[in-house]
Amino acid sequence: MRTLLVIPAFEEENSLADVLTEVKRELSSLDILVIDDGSTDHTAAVARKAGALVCSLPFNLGVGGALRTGFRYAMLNGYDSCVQLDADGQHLPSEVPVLMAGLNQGADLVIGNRFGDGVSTYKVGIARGVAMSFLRLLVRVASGEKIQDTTSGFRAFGPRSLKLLSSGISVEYMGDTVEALLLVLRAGLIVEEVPTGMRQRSAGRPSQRSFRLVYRYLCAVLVIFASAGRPVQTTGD
Amino acid sequence: MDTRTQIVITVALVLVLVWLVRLVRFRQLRGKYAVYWIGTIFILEIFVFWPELGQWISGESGSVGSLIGFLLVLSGFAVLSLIHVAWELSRLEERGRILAEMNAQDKDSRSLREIELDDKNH
Repeated sequence: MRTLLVIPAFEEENSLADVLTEVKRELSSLDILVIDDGSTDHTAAVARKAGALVCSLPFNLGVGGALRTGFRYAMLNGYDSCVQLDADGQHLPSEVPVLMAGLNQGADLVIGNRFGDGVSTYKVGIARGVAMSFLRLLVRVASGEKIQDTTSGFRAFGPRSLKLLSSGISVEYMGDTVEALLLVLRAGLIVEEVPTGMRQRSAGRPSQRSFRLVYRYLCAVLVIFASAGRPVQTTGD
Repeated sequence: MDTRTQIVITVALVLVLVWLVRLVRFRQLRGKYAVYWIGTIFILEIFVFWPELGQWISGESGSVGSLIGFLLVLSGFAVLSLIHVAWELSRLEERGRILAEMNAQDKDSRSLREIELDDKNH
């Protein structure tokens, strides 16, 4: 299976070099594509210097837009699967083979579960915890599936989910996580979770804060609610 | 405001709400704009069921009658919405220009590469 590692990056010049060094050390056989999501710093230059393929977006499209660019690149260049990894150094490249093993066992989407037993010590604040529980419930009601980590950005996509999401992924907030997950589930594809670790950010700033986070959650819930039951174009195989 | 008027306005607002949700459902309207307009519908409903609020605004603003107060608020909101739309359009126009420039540069560099290849082949 030919796999592309997709790293969406927005103003991550301080952490990206270390992440790419670690990725190259741990996963020497994988091609790496960094999607520079309209950064104003030297993110693209850092990625090129580290030997990664780089797609530079002319302006910020958000994680969903960046990921869609990566998936389309993968489809156009004959890759069978993709792994999504954050550029902030929180995900462990050494655990990518765990995700890929899930794909090899027949899953279409493998989610790195940050709350899996015994692997991660990842903790979230009260507000974010409540929001995550609500999203978990929302996914369960909408799909009937029990997914513990609906917002994890550490995922592996098999051929069928890659094909589906390369055109179907939404650019809304959480379109790349919760909405994409629901899309895959509604298409009847197989989703699995595997426990993975999570480090603290090595540099940069978190993407969302307090009031803005609440507003964005509100928008995302509206979109998820409105999209529920929308016909999904199945992958046909 | 009599009950019949309240019902007619509420039905109209519910229809607009359904239309908004449908637009979001088919990805023809972004969630952030939908939240904005759903919030507006909610506020309009408050004015429909509590017209006294319009009277209170009239009193505070020195206007005469609840209708004038309501129209004042509505005008202010319409002006702010239009400014926001103009801002979004300007931003999109700027992005369109950037994309056009990039497309032109890309075509230009491809033409140059083709000329170089032709020169090598001849």
